[in-house]
Formats: sequence, structure tokens, C-alpha cells
Amino acid sequence: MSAVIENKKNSESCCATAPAASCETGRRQEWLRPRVDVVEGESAFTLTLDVPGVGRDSLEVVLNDKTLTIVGRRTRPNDEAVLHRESREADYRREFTLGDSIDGEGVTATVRDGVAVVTLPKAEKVKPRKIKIAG
Amino acid sequence: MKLMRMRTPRGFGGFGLSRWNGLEEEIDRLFNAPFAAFAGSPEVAEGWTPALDLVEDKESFVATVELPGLKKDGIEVSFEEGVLTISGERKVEERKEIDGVHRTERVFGTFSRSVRLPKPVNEAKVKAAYKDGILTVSLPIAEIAKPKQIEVKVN
Repeated sequence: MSAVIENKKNSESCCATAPAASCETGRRQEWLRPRVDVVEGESAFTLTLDVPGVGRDSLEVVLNDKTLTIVGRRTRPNDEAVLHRESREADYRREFTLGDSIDGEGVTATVRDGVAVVTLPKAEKVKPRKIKIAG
Repeated sequence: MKLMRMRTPRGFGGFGLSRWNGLEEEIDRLFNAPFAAFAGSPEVAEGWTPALDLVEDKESFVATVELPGLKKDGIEVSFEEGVLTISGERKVEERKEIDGVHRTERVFGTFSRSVRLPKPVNEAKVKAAYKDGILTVSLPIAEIAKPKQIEVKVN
């Protein structure tokens, strides 16, 4: 799968290549790696990520050259009154490197019910093309 | 241990906080994740344990459960004898025009989480809402359970 490769190191912590907005504190930040499904269709790859608590306004998808960064921010409950907690403090982040077979211009993203879907269309050159028979 | 799955209903009791609660959850997650990923098909995952938080404020308890991608009718909330149970099923999404599945980490299937509330609540006023993949259940604390201030007259 050379079209979509995860930059695992950058997904887990730190933010050297993160969008500026996610690095405003300037210090090392721990992130939560959202679970992802990567599916290839005829004309596009689809990344589906579970990001509960992330709405339209708190999802950032940035494509910088070949680096695709997905960041989801969450608002946390007031800690003072927490009796039991299993959810994590951190925001979500995951980073991928896209291959040449992806059309970067055509990347789109949606988020609904805490599930983010990023569509990575294949570049024209790699799409199956039906050849017209001459003559 | 105050939080556990429905299939092992024994052992509800003290409400002391323990670091092991989180550990147990983490072990569950670790076991769920790699199996689902290796299996290559989400159907194989037997079930999942969505994260549950419980908060108390002056008026009510608020339980939140991380349930991404659920349908409202796929979630069931019940309250019985002081125990709140949230259960349901996350159905596997239908996929069309697939050329290949490169990675499957997300888990699907049935789930059930229960929590015993440490104080009586007003059952008639329990409310649930689902937004951005998070279920929020608010349970107003019953009047009898609230501390009452009694004025002491000094003669």
C-alpha cells in the first residue's frame, strides 16, 4: 500500500510537521491515535477515523505537499467532579504520507456522529481507463 | 469495582476509585485492537468496550460514553435499581465498489456498559442525548439524597 502510508512516529507525539494551529503551545504534545480503516475503491481511497467528540468545527485536515495530517479536538468535562474516567485527555492526531497516485487537489473530508471520512481521489493516470477500440 | 460489563454483574459494591479500573479497561482495549486489525474483517471482532465517564455535579450525575458512528436506534439506555446500563450495537458499514481493504482498526459489534450510581436519582427525569458520537445521559439526583440545610435556632 504505497498510496497511503502512516507516519507513525509523528502520529504519536510531538508536532514537528503539524499544522501551526495544533502546535501553539510550542511544547511536546501527546496525541491520541484515532482508529482508522483504509479502503481502496476504484476511483479513491477512503480513510475512516473514529473521533468521538469531534464535530465539524473541531476537525482539521491539512495536506502539506504529500503529508496529510488529521487533527480532532475535544472539549473535556470539568475534572473536579469526575467519579470515573476512561476517556483520554488528549486530542486526536494521525499523519499519513500520500503517494503520487493520489490527486491532492481533490481531497475532501466530512465528519458525522464522531466519524471522520477523508476521501483521497486517485490521480487520473492511475485510474482504470476504458480504451476505445479504434476502427 | 464499580464499573463492569453486564455479563459479570456480580461485584458491584464500593464506589472507591481505583487505578485498576483504568488498567482493566486498557487491557480490554489492547485485546480488542490487535485482533480486530489482524482479522482483516471487522465482523470477527466479538464486541467492544466503549469508554465511559461519570461526573457528578450539584444537581445530577452525567454519564458519557464514546460511541462513534452509531444510529440513535442502535443505542439502548436503561436504569434499574440504581444501575445505569447503556448497550447497543454498532453495525458494520456496507462498502461498495471495493478494490481493497488496507487497514481495519475500528471495532464493531455489540456493547454493554453499566455503572451503579452512588446516590438515588430521579428516574422519571433521566435524559439522554447523542451528539458527535458521544452519548450523554443526565440523571438528576433525587431530592432525598441531596444534603439539606437545617437551621439551628439557638435560644
